[in-house]
Amino acid sequence: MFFNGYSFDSGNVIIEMMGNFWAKWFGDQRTLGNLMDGLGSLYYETFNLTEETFNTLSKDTVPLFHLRPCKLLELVHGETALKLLDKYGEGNEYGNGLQYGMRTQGSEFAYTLPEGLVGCTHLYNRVTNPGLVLTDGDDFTIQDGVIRFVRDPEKNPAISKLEENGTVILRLWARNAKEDKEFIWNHFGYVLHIWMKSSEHYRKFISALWDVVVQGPSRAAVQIALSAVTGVPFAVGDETVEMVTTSSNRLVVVTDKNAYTFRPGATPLVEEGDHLTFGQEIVDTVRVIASLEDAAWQVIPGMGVGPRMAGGGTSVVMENSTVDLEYYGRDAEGRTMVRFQVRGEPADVEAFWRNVHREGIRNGETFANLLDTRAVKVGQPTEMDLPETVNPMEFLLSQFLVNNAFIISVKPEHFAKGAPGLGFLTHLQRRLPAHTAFIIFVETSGRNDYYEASDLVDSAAFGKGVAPPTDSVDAVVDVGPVFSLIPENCR
Amino acid sequence: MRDLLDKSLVNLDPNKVREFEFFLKEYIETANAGVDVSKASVFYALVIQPAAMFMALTNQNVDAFRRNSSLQEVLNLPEAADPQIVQALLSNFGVEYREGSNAVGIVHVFLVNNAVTTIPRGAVVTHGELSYRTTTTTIGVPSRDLVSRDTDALIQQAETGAYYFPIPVRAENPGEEYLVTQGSSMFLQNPPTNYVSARAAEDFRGGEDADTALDLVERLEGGISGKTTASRVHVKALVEEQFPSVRHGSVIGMGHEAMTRDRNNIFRISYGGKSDIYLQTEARPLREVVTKTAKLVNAATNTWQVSFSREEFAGVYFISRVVPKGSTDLGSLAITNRVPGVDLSPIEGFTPTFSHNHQAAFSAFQTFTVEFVDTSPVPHGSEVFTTTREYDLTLVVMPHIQAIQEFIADPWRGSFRYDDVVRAPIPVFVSLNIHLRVPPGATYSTSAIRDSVVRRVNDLGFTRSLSSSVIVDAVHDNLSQGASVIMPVDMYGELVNPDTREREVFRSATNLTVPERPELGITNDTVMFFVLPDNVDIVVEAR
Repeated sequence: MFFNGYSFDSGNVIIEMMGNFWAKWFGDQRTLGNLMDGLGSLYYETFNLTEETFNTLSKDTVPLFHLRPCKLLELVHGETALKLLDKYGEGNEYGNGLQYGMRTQGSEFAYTLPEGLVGCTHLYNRVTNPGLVLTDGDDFTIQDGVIRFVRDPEKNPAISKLEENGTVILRLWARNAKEDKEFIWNHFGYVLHIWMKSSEHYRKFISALWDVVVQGPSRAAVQIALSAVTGVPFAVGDETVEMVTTSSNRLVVVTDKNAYTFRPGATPLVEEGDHLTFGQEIVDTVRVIASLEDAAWQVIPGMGVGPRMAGGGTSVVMENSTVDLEYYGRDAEGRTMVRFQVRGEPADVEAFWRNVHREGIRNGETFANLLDTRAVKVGQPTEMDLPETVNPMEFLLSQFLVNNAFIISVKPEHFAKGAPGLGFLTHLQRRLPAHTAFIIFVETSGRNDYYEASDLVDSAAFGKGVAPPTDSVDAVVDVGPVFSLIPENCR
Repeated sequence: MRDLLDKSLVNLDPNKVREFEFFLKEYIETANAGVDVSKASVFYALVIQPAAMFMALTNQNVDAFRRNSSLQEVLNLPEAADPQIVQALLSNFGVEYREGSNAVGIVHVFLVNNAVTTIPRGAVVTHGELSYRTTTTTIGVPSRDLVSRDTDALIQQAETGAYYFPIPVRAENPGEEYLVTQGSSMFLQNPPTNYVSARAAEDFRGGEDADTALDLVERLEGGISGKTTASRVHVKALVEEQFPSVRHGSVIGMGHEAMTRDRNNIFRISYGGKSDIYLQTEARPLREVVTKTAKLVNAATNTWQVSFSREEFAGVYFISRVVPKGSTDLGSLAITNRVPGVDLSPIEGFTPTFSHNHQAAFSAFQTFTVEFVDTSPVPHGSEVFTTTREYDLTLVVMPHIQAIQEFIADPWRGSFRYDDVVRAPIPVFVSLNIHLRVPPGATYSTSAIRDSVVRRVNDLGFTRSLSSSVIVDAVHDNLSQGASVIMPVDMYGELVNPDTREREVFRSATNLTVPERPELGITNDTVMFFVLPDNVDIVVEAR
């Protein structure tokens, strides 16, 4: 008897309920007990199924997997020949003795699993009182519909084997089997046309976007969606930090109501005694900067302006540092010309400033006119009438972007393991106002890159202290603005 | 409603029953090896097998209940989805199944003489295998003073000498295939004695197919969305609820390279707050004939001018034909000048920001002036800007653009901070030359092939690229085995330049691609390909 927790799967309890004859006088109590245990276990599975069905009614409780206490597993020898080669995306690291296309350890003892089976904790050779117990991770692994044994199961005498038409079939019982029936996709994801592998992240992401669709693009829903794609939680709110502790494999922030876990290396932004509000950032892994009052923008080293943000074919980078305003004398008509340092290809930089001056003339006020500090602006400003320095990125943010754009600053190396990643933010972008945009700043340990998201697919890249790379970072594909009667390719 | 739950043991999954049987047998055998649980045993027959079957049945029914709560799963069931279940699930999303709509249009009936002619209500008019019925009794009368009721129509004389009058018709069935184009030959069954022929007077409109499963799934998100301008999906929901004929849409906003309206600053950097909503509001653009009064602007060159207000020109792509009023001649007078303009007076209190005419192209804010040459003699004494004549101009238009702009800009929907302009997609009008080879004796229908190609291209959505494989695939849906498309397929596209409104020509046998010019709004998210049935030439070779 290894299923427990409910009275109806306990043979003894059932027999007691059957009355004195069966409980006390019937001769073969052992067989009866086992029969009731078996029946009870099957009822338990039905109960499980029913509970799962109830839970599919809500986007917040929809189960990730169909759980089966015990599932019959029949593995057919030779069925997996074409599926054995490892592929990219299977978690292998190539180059250190392992080559792409080479079989990893255990690949030679691999079998195709029944469709949908994505995992189990153990394999038993018998449904009860097993003489052989194989453990996931130690004796076998399951990935992409294939089970790989460390040792050849066909040579294990404890595993029953059948032979049908010359084919060897191994029969095992999978304990705590997880079958992926794609509950999240089939009940909620398909409505939003967003498919991911079933996961807690997927459930949270769908739930957040569902709220965006129904209620509108609130800050809370955006934060929950960000949390889902990065695996980094924000504060639930109305709680007080009691402990911040770091171990080799995680950072934990404990409050009087929750315990938040993060990847090691994440920098906590809270300390003991802090009172947390809803949506508050607990670590610096994911930060939403919607105002220049938020000092977090100051750590961003620069911001690119590419064709999508500024039209034309140029890309320049505006650094977050104080630079001199450079006086460029007068143009042919006597208008004052000024520039400040922007980075990029020399031709792009030149084109950028040429355009700025031309637009200024077209609009009736040149850049120098706009920067003129005189109270009474008569005639063209001289060098003395202009500010000495300017912070290009701050200028860009404060003058153009601050009203309708916000920044998402992220450190992907501290995202939760298995988190879907920033690529899925394109789904969020479709559900945010077209009149706004978000700009993603990606900070990595080796180098800082940033790229523009939402509609801002193109970008310039930025590196601290080095010339900007010529390639751009297209991390987010913008399929956002398009809708149609024919579903996009969601799978 | 179909019974969701299985009461019979006949449809049980035998593998599931077998698994449960194994489970129970092993449970008992392991504990008590002496018990006979073989198939021949009483234990098996009376206990194990029934328990396994009933358990499998119960689980199957529980699972059926779950599956039937998801439209996705219901539509994927091997058996046809139960309409009542589908309807019930759709109601959870506020979505209703659309049974399609019947195309309507006007047919000109040509007569040999100018005599009173009656076409009764319900008279059948056909176009190939497509059948229509007149919606009213129409009496053609020879002079204006005989017109006394709405159903009386004045018989007019075409330049060919034939007489004609219009009758309204409605398709007998719903569907897009009933959207015949202007000039299509029609046939009036049981015609009057003075009948000569019949022809579609305009592009028919309104014909829509019934919802497919994919359509329904596509509309679910819109069903639960707030009907606001809050985001792209919300705009979609808002527009589609009010204008169900909308097929595709694309919302361009801050940071999109085609969004040039929010860069009216010295750095030409997007500052947001604006969106352009491109909508395909019908299966394909329609041709509408309007009669306008033209002014003589140059007597020496016989040049005449017609101006359109924004109400008259909302969503119009171009003027395809100019003829003297009532003329049924083929061809058009030569257009010599096109002057697009913008009317910025508010719509529902809303005034958008435009810094260039092309930003208003194909919207409800565009105006237009056209000049053309009519070499027919100008009457003696004519004066420039005073002498007028009436002309029939055929407009190629994406309809409803003005109505949708008004709807979006309505004070109860629009926001002070939002600047949302509704535009028809930037169009590429495609002509196709398709050469088929079919085995002798094989049956095929060129009208079915044409309809299939037209539907496929017009339903591509927003793209700058039309692959010939799309055409070939659509053709093959209608060919029997052994028939083939002889490659290449000649594709000829005319892009209407949003700036000049001139048509730019592209041609390809493989992939018809329009170069991206975001400064004019020409991008993957704003361009659509359209093909009209009479622009698909099909040549069939029997071999």
